[in-house]
Amino acid sequence: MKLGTETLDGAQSKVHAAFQIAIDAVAAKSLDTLDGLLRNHPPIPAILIFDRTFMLTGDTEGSHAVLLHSYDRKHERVDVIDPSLPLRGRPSAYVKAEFEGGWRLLQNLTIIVHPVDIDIKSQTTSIAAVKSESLLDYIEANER
Amino acid sequence: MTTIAIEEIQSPEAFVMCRLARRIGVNIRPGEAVYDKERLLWKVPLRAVVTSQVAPKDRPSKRFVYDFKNIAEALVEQDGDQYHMRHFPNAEFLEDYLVREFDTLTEKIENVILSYDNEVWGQFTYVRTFLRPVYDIVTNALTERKLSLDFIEQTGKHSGHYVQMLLDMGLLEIDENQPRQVRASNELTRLHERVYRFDTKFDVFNVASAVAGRIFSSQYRRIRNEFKIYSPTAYVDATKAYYLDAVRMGERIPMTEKELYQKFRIVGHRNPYESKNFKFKTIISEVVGGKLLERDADDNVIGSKSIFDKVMPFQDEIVKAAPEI
Repeated sequence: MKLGTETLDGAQSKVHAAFQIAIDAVAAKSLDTLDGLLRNHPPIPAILIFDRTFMLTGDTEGSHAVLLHSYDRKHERVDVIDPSLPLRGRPSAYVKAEFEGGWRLLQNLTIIVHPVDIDIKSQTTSIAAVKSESLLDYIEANER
Repeated sequence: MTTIAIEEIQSPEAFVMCRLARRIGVNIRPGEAVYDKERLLWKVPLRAVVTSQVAPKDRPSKRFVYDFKNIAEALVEQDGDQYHMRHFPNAEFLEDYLVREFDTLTEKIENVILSYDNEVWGQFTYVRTFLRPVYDIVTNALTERKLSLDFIEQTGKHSGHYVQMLLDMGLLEIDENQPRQVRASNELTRLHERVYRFDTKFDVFNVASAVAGRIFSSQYRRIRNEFKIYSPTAYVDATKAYYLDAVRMGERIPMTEKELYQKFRIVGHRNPYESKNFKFKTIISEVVGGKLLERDADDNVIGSKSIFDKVMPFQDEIVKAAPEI
């Protein structure tokens, strides 16, 4: 009887652990680096926070969140699920260069929601201690 | 266990942005980091971005943003390619700072609203509820010849302070022979006569209402900050929320109650105190009844022309703080 209870508890805790999720905020270096999330089965949703006002009009100080659906490297196109667009729940295409402009203003902020048994590991690169250029220049230089 | 490696931007700003996203929200953003060679730390200034939108029915909507620069500073230590947070302001500190900044920006508009008709404030429900001791003191002072301070102190938490305010305003005076007793001054009696002359119904409560209005109008910040009585401030903040946008737009724009409610939550930094039968709509109705705001034919809220003319001189200041985007 005691053993049965323990088993049941163990099973419950396993089920509970499977549904536990973690939320991470990362400043992804570029859209390429998020490929790992899209290629995973099932894919892990990445929420991209960007300045939509800047993307659309060139003025700063807006913010908006979309879900990354896919990234077409060949055609330089980002497919996102944007809840504010009429095609709610279906991907809409943004031009990569325009999208990245707005995304950079918020330091490429990306929120990753994932089950706890998938580890999101930050792979860092070194940076000079004293900055001689602006952040945008730095990112552009490192992306080439 | 699956591991996904993500290459991250390595900069103090990006490090601070991730921390902000986790703990505060994206309305607070990092500025450009400066390296402090003496302390061997990155100093990242933080700024707050509060967007606001005005959507008139007959014209395209306008968006503008309140940008408060250098509201705080994050200190980041660099160890090779790793960053460590040395100092990061907490959400409460940032909230308090923002509330103070916003109050300073809107203080002049608030003063105009408060002083427009100082006696009207006493007619509002929350003022009557939360400034109850003032009504007790004034009605008792008018119906009884003398009023004992010992009795007054039992009537409410801040009664002693209210008596002092009434003494300072010259509406009560201390009895020369009995220092622990106060009585109505000549000015309070004159106010009584004036209310009697213009009111259809003789009632000392109307006098108390006018006095409470004067106290609320003149001691507004003390009541809010020192006595921590927040509910009646909803009338001021709701009115201020309207005129702030009207001044920003340069005209008396019609605004729906729902839109004003959203503005109020930004200006008032909170939800209003509501009960089952007393909602934000009731607050607006009372403000309209007090002629601080008006209603147009479509039942939209619209500003009073005389108040609007008084707050318009502050337009430059507001436009500078909140440019259009």
